[in-house]
Amino acid sequence: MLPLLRCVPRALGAASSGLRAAVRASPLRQLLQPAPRSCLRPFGLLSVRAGSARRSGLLKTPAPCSCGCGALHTEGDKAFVEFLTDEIKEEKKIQKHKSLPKMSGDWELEVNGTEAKLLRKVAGEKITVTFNINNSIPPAFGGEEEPSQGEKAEEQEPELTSTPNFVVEVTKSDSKKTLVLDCHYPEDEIGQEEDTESDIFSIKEVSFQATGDSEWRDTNYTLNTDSLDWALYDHLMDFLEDRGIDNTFADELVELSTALEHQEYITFLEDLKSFVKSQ
Amino acid sequence: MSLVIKNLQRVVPIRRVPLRSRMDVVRSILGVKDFDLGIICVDNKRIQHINRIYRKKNVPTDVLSFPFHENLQAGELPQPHSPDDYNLGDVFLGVEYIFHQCRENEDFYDILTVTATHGLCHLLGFTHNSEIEWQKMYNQEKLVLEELNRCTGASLQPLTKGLY
Repeated sequence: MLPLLRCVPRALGAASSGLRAAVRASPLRQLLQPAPRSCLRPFGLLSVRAGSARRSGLLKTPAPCSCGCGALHTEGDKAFVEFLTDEIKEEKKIQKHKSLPKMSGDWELEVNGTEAKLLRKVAGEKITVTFNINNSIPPAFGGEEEPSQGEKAEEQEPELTSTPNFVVEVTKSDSKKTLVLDCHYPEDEIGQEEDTESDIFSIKEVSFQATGDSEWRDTNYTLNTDSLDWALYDHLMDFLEDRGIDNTFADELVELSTALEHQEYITFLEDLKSFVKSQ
Repeated sequence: MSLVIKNLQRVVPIRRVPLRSRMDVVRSILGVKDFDLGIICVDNKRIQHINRIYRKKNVPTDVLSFPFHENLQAGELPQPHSPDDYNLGDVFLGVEYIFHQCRENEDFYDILTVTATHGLCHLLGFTHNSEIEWQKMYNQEKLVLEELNRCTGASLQPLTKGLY
């Protein structure tokens, strides 16, 4: 089964707010009224009298389910739960890593929901790399090519990978400042890796923040690398390389992020199934 | 104009600054600092793929050059007609291949420099398809590397040494 639900674009935030805005603009209450299940008592029929107009069953609040759980059960919910059961089964089947893959080098991993932090100490320096798997899967393009004559179209799903932006923080033991580097993966379309000439990752912004300060200060100067001198950029890349943040690290972080995202997705589907089932 | 270094592979650790500092000297010596140049570090898989597509040779190699200005005479500097023409092209360095070719007493960045210089000479119209062409290219590389050796104290030799 194609995991259709997993085509989550990077712009999910914008897309969802667009959806919420559409709902507010054009009420869909009638469509949201449940089709009652057969276990519901037919209250609409009991109120019928000779000569009077029959009240529309759609306007009545459905009674709670006879199973006694107090929640709403609809045919739609039942179909939804069945769908989710299958989807969860398929996702677990294709799950590449049952546990999170390890990063090489002595990185300690801390996971807090969708946010992951890798920590390392190198000769008095503390290095942390933080990333969030939300909205980390770039949109899948392609699939518009027609199959050649005489051949069936193969069901080839692109392998979804999570390429989150990641923030590197470097704190020296005697410094009150932390050097913060915001790093991104290239925004390439999936399946075009062979032809791209982009670095595996790039540094987008660099700034200093006060050590231990959890609040990001906009008033601190932020260096944008878009128009940065290439020699300075190379020094920054070598600086990261010396601290274990190189192309190998970047590739392994993709593996880790992809595994974490898949894990969180499956957990979300399971939670959704429990919630809809509500038993 | 800029020298842009990219590293598309993870097989061999690459430090950009040593390569840049050497190639900046080479560009100065050749008189092409005003031109953009790309140096792209790739692994065997990628360079073999490129070699197969563009030269029909399904093997990895040390360097492949893609000139912006085609049909330059050997050693002729491009004559730009617009700001966009200040571009020499790209040199793909097969760093994995080069790394394995390095002898024990050889510095990897010295060999990268020699190879990149060879690639840069190709961008400037030099070839080695015949003995005469090779002689021209060898002389140019020798000139550049001798000057580089004077600046850096290295003792680099042209890649085309002993080809004919």
